[in-house]
Amino acid sequence: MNPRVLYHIARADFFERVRRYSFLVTLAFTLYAAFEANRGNIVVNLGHYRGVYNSAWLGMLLSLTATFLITMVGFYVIKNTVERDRQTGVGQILAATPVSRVSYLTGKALSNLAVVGVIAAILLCTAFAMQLWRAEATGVDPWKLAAPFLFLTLPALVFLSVLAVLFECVPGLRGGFGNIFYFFFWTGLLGAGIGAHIDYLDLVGAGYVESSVKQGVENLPGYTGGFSFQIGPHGGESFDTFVWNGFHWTAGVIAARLTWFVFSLLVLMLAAAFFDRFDPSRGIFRRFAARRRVGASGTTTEEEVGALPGTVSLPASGPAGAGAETSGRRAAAIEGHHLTPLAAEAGGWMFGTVLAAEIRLMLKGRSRWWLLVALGLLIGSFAAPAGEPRGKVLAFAWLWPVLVWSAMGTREAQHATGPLIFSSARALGRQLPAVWLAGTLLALVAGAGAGARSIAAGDWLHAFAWFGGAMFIPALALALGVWSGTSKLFEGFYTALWYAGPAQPTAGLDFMGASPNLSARVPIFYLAATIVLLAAAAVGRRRQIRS
Amino acid sequence: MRLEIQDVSKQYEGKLWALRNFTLDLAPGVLGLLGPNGAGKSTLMRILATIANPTEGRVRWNGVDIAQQPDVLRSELGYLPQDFGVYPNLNAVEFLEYLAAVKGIGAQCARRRIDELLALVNLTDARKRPLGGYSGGMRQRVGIAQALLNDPKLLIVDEPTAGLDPEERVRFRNLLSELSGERIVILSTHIVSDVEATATGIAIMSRGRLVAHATPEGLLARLEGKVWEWVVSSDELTAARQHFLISTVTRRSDGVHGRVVADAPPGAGAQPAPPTLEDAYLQAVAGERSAEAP
Repeated sequence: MNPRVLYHIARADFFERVRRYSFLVTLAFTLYAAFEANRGNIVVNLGHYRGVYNSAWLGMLLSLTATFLITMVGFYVIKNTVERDRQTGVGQILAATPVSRVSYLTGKALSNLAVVGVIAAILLCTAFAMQLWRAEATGVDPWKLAAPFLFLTLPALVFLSVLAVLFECVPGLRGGFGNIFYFFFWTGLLGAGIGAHIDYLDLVGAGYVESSVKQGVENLPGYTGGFSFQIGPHGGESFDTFVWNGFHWTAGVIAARLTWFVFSLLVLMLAAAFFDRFDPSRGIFRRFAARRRVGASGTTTEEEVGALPGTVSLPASGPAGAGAETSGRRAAAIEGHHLTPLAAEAGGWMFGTVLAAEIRLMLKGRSRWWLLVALGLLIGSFAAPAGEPRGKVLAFAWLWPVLVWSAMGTREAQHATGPLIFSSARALGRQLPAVWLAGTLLALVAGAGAGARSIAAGDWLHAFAWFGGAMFIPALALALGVWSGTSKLFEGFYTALWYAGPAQPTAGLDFMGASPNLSARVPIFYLAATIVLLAAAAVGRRRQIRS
Repeated sequence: MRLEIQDVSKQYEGKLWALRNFTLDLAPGVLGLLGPNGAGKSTLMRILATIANPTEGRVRWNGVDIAQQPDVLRSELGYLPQDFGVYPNLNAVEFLEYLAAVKGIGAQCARRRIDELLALVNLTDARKRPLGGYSGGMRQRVGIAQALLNDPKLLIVDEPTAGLDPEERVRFRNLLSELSGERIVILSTHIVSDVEATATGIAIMSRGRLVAHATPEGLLARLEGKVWEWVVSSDELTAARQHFLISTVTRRSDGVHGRVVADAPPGAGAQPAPPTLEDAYLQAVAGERSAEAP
């Protein structure tokens, strides 16, 4: 591996990313997190205690915040580096250079690391600024501020950077399924660290943070256990403070964190094995199959040589004039074609036709297995008993089509069909509502059992929540899709919202009425949110149509 | 049927003017829009296709300002952009059915039209194959078919022959000629021979400005007596290029045969030659560049 090559792959990719408007959004989000931390809305508390804002505590708090947020959201920010080369065609140029798979992917992982490193650096600066601003402890200790970033955050960021590259290289994880899968993978790692206390699986390092800070508070009066890391307002609760002097970076702790570098190396090798070098015919499985064929016959057949990329098949010899003759005949044949003039109906409102077309487009390419699972969940939502079981089935019935919804509003950008569609009449007034309605109909059908049973039982509140949820999901998908131009934002956000809301269920986040105990205010809120989201989608689409 | 482009300018972020004071009045026929890369052709096409707004000026379709009421034009517009994509999981019929619906064409009418269009662009045999497996030329033909779906009164095609093989290029030129009767066709390209075969009018752009607008015959007439075939040695060619506008060069056993555009014979032995559109195009673009030079 040539370090200069790695540097330039990473540098070019990093510059390409940070010069996009989307990076400004990432920075704005980071600065907002820093602002919230300074306001005291991001806290680590142990019962009614929290640490004095000294260098040790703030280093720990902001490092934990950085690691938690970046490993959760940052994945979706950085998982596009290989895909960008694929879409822009730069990959074709790179594939024709001597750069190896491992070098290319290492460069890309380094670029990922640089992007998330910027976010972490902002939060490290925030820790320093907070200590001066809050002035609860004098004397800034740079080591105590930075060490948690070095030992807790950095290994997690390295692993995340490489993992994002792996997801881009494995065909099944490259798309929307990978985005959803990652969320549950991350949740699992978090549980392994905090719940099960398996140190070498604790990516965020929360388990070690918990055990370390607990040592400082164990003998204080009124402490009965508990450790909590909260992001968001905590109801103005005031905490008693104690002085915490920081982590003890023992060899064992450092070794446990260093294992993430080893994991990263393994993941990078795995990614290189899967990477197709921008030629779908060169994926790991195809390479393996080709080797077996060659190995079995001991030689490569002519047919196989013809199938290899970059090999040109010459046409069989024939009369020199044959091609020209055919060409002339076919070119002349154009005069025989006839185009029927369109009937007067062309240019009419035709909303039903557009809606039907959007539904067909939405479901096109779904496998029979996909439909079978959706049908199973539909039947399940009819059959499940009222209350929590039916709510759970509805929740899963409305998680299953997430990849269908996530294409809404992004399809035109993803497949570059925008100029064709936006230059059509009523692209805003007809096509956009048809897309949303198609998504709503899908939700209504997928969760029909729960809705029908609620109506039959006269449970109008749950029926209202069900109907509101069916309108809310595609409105959210459309708004996020139109404004971000990528399906990842909806896939990540919706999965997190689904997990925190209907899957738990948490009352205020239960946008579909999966909880047996439902307040009327919740569906009304999501109905209002639907209207706002649709308006946002319309404004965004209008902007796209008239650049 | 009339398309009026009045003093249209377009400025992108970074203060770059892609179009400056472009004015043109169009009636039915094929307008060949020629210009070097970066001349502003695609920007003009996007404005005419209602997907970009001019910074200054206005465009009227049959008297209606298309910035104010874009749908008036959109319902009669066929647009083939320079860069466009397709949905890879759909086949050609499904993709065209989808776009027909988006354009407001009824299902029955669309089906017949799609069959005819696929035959026209020579894709009937591949109609059921997913578009993801199409070659670049085949996708371009799908693009041509979609532009004709709604029987447009204004057809805008931006570099339509890019990626087409010679046979399909000839087919497309023939098709444009046949279509031009009762509609306005704007064909943007930098391939002079495409325009030569089809255009009833030619507009030449350079650096965002319109530098010439005339019939092909009119453009050629301007150069009558100003094109010379001159044979020079290989050594003299470099010096000749510095002093004269040389449109084409052919190497033969007796030396280098160059076509020179000049008011007077460039040197001894230069013979008058009939002008071609390529000569006219190069002369117009070179003339504009020298006028701009300090």
